[in-house]
This record gives sequence, C-alpha cells and structure tokens, in this order.
Amino acid sequence: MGYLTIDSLTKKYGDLTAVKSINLKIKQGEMVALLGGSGCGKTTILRMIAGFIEPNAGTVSINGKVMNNIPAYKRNVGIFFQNYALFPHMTVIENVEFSLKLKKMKKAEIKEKVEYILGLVKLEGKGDSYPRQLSGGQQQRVALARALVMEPDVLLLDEPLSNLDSKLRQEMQVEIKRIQKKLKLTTIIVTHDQEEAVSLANRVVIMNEGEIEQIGEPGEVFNHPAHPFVAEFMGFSNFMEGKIVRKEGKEIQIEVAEGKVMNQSYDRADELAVGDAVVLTIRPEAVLISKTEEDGYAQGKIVNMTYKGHNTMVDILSSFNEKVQAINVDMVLPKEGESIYFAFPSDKVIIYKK
Amino acid sequence: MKTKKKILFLALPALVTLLTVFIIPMIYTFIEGIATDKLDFYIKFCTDPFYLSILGNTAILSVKTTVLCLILGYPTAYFLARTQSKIKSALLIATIFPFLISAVVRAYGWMVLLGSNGLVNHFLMAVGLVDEPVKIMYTEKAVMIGLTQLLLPYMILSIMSVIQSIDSNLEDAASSLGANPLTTFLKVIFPLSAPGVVSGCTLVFTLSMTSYVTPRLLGGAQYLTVSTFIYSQVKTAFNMPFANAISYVLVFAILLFQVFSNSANHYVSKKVGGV
Ligand SMILES: Nc1ncnc2c1ncn2[C@@H]1O[C@H](COP(=O)(O)OP(=O)(O)O)[C@@H](O)[C@H]1O
Ligand SMILES: [Mg+2]
Repeated sequence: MGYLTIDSLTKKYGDLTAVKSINLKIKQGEMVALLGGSGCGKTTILRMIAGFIEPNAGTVSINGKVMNNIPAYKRNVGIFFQNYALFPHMTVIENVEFSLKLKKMKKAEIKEKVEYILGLVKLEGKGDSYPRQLSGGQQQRVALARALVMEPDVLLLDEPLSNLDSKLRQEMQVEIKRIQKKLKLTTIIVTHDQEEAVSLANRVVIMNEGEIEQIGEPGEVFNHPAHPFVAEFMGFSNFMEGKIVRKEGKEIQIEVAEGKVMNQSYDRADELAVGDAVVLTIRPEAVLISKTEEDGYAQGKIVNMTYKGHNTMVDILSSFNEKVQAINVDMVLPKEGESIYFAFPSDKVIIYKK
Repeated sequence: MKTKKKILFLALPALVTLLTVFIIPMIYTFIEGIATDKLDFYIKFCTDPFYLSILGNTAILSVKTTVLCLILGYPTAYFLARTQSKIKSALLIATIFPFLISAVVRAYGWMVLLGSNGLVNHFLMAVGLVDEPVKIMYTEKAVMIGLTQLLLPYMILSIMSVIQSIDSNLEDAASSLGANPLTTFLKVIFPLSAPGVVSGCTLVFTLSMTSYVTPRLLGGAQYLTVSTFIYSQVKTAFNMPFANAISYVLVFAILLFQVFSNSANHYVSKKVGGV
C-alpha cells in the first residue's frame, strides 16, 4: 500500500492522450522524481493529483482515501507551479500566509511559521516586497515557501529549480531535500534534469509520451536504464545499431556496418543470441581514449572538440564511419583532424535487443 | 525619450483634428458665454432645485445603470474569459452584436416591449402579477433598462480583457492552498480584475451621463436627464445661453468624475502591479 496511490490514471485532451493509464505507489515521506521530456504529461499528472483537472479514468488516493470527488481546496496537496503562480497583488508574507489565514490560525502562530519558512528559503527581509520586485530565483523560493508552509500531505514540485543559477540550484537542492526529510513530506518532484532527479529522489520515474518507461532507484535507472530511451535520458550516448554475428561465452561480435565488426565482452551476454538486432550504448565519459594504439582500441579521427571548463567533449569519427562521443578530463589531446584511439570498457556498455 | 517623441507623432493627426474641430470651438463657446452673460446662467442652474434635481437624477440614473451593468456583466465577462467552449468566438460576436444596431432602433424596440400596451405588461397581466398596466415607459426604469442594454458590452469587454490576462494557475494555486471558490474569487480574482471593473464603470457611467437618444425616446418629456433638458432648452425654450451653460456644467461634472476615476484606476493598478 502506498501513501499516495495512482491507479490507471488517464487523461485525454481531444485525440491526444496526455497521460496513459499510469500506475504509481509512493510511500509516506518518500520523494519520487518524475523525469521526462517536455510535453510528456508530467504537469498533467500533478494537476490530477492536486485536483485541478479530472482524470478520464483511474484514481488518485491519498492515505487510502480516493480523492477523485474531493475538490482541490479540501485535498491538502501543496503544489509548486512551474511558473510560480504567485499572487501579484500580495506581498511575500501575504502570499506565504494565505493558507494559514484560511485555516484560521492565531496571528502569533502564523507570524512564527512564516518567519521560520522564509528563513528556510533564505528570504528574510524580503517579506514586504511584492513578487514583481523580486528576481526569478527569489520568486521561485517564495512559491516554494508558500507550498511548504501549509504542511501538505503531499507536496508536488513542478520543475522547482529550473530557473536558478547553478550555485543557488545546488543550495536549493540540498535545502529541498533537507526540508522534505525533516517534515517527512511525501513528494513528487518534476524535473528534466537527470542529475537532479537521481541526487534528490528515493525513486525515479522516467516518462515518455504519457507512459512510464521505467521506475527504479536512482542507481538502478542511472546505471541500468531499461530502454534506449531511458538510457538517452540518463546521459548515455554513442548509440550504435548492429547485429550479433558471433557469441562465445561473454565474448560477442557485433556487426555495426557492412563488413565492420566490433568485439565486445558483455556480462549479460546470455540474454542475447546470434542474429539478434541490437542497440549498443555507452556514456561519453566512460569511453576510453588514447593517443597511441593500444590493445582492444579502435582507430578514429577527431572531428570536433568542445571545451567545457572542467572537461572537453571530443567528437570522433571512427574508421567504420560511426560517430563516437567521448569526454576527456585531463589528457593532453591531439588536434582536430588528427587520429585518436578509443575503446568501450565492457562493464560500461549496455546492449539492448531491438 | 526619443522614441516617446516619435510615437507622439503618430497621434498628431488625431490631435490636430480634435483640437481644431472640438477643443478650440468648445473653449470659444465657453469664453463667449462667460463674456456676454458672466456667470448668470450658471448661477441660475445652481440655485434652482428643479435644475439641480435633473443633474442629480441623471447622476443617480448613471450610477444605477453602472451597477446593473457590473452585476450583469461581470459573470458574463468571467465566463467569456475562461470558457474553452468551441462557440466562444460566436459568443463574443453576440456580445458586440448590439453595437451594430443603432441606439434609435433599439430604443424603439424597447418602446414596443415596455409600453402600457407592450409585451411586458401583457405578460405581467396574463400571469396575474398585476391588474392594470405598470407604467414603465417615460420613467427612470425604462431609461435604465435601455441604457443597460446599450452599454453592457462596454462593461463586459473591459472586464473580460483583464480577466483573460490573469494567469488561471492563480486560481488553482489559491484552491490548492485551501481557498474555496468564493474565497478564491474574493481574494484573488476580483482584486486582480479591479482595473477592468474601474475602466468598465468609468465608460458606462460617462456614457450614460451624456447619452441622449435613449433618455430622449424612453424618458420623453416626463423623465428628463441633463442632455434631454439641454435639448429642450435649445428646441423648445430657445434659450441658447442657458443651454450653453448647462452643457458646461455637464462637462465639468464629467471632468470631475474622470479625475476621481483616474485616481481610482491609478490606485488599483498600483495594487495589482500595473497589469
Ligand atoms: N488544457 C490542455 N488542453 C489541451 N492539451 C493540453 C492541455 N494541457 C496539456 N495539454 C497537452 O498534454 C501534453 C502534456 O502536457 P504537460 O503535462 O504540460 O507536459 P509536461 O509538463 O511533461 O511538459 C502536451 O502535449 C500538452 O500539449
Ligand atoms: Mg510541465
């Protein structure tokens, strides 16, 4: 039994099925990240949980109670909106205390809670400002404070950190995690950033076109994505299609192009058979590169290098005309156009049956 | 600064036209009136309770019309702003459609409906609500009904355009924070739509203060407003200087109202962040 249970939830907009029969169980105090591209239905799911829109089919239950016929204002679900949705005619304090005043709390208690929460999101001294007088990042934190202060049964965060600069973003990630743990909030956080998802959440849900592709713990989805789609989302690249032409124990041979074969040792080779069409993938940072020819390395040519500060993205065109991407941290690299050798370490490669 | 000046150029043709055919003649007749008769006719108007009551009645009529338009117009405006209906554009056209029919034609329509032999009285008598015809024509009621129908689209459009610009997520946010629909309306939607309410009320009030055709046809000689009274001074009493003075009383009354409504507008815009 989950604390928040979503059962066969479906939402259609005309011909478009934005959410396709989603099932999800979230334990009390658990933080789940919804990860997926733009338009895959993440916000729609949150809106159904909050009660703003009605599902075409399926149920949302919180603490064993079916919520479908309960209006949003009775659900005690806190939501952080992607565009903040702060009340423009109210000050920061008025925005934050809105829910507390509706609960007819005592003035002194409201004041105390508001001050505490504004301190948590580092907005002391901004209480009397109007949202328009604040920066995007500050507005974002007001929206967060407003959702947190009501101590919701379920907290929904729709891309809460997307507009922050990277330093503030990291600080806020730590803060959100800390507050969420402290208040034991059952939380769904929507993000399109895989690193944010795996660093914040207890479990990660990867969505694509209204459907769940994979649910798992961060390490599992990060290292063992179930489909090529999930792999791409988790930062894998170097997708190569091919066919298995030979297999001996863990050693397999994949034909990636007419007459071009790759030798690969693969731990889970028993799931594959000769003749299978496969897709092979590896993270760019896992690709090994060398200036000199080494055993098991293939030859290629550097076509492009992008300096990224703490590393360099190297685009390689292999001798069998495949594009390979590698990330190099500390090696002194040859120049563009010069030859380079690369290898895919067997424990880092994933091979999917097509 | 420079672009502001350039933009001002675009307003030049309208400005010149207004100045030559409207503002200069107005200033001229005003000064001319004062020069020949001093303030005599203004004093005459302001010291006679009968004349003052016409101004008072016109103001009361305009306030009532404005309130009625607001009550009828606000829900319609909200509906039009938020509906996802496929016939939304048809509904919008229906809202503006009355603009296409002359106020004269519409007033005659109301005469047919509201007269002692009209449809409304026939209906009231048929269902037994009244025993003899109610006098609606040539009273404040008839004028108010006519003006409300005439001016309602202004109210609806003013409020609708503001509500459309209010992020609908704000309503969802309020409800997720525990506000029921009524509280959401009172604390969020209504305050944010205030600029539209102010501009709608300003338009409707000003237009009903100065309207002529509707009070003329539906109020007749028995129910006078400032504009129909000015007309009677010109056409029946042949007292042009007095008509001139009353016109300026009306102009100043409206200017005064504009000052008030401007500051109201300024206040609410500041409150809601200049939406
Ligand atoms: N009110 C609506 N009417 C019609 N289509 C909608 C509506 N809201 C969302 N959609 C569609 O549903 C899909 C999912 O949207 P959304 O949940 O906002 O995606 P995400 O938050 O993952 O980016 C999109 O294709 C979007 O265009
Ligand atoms: Mg979204």
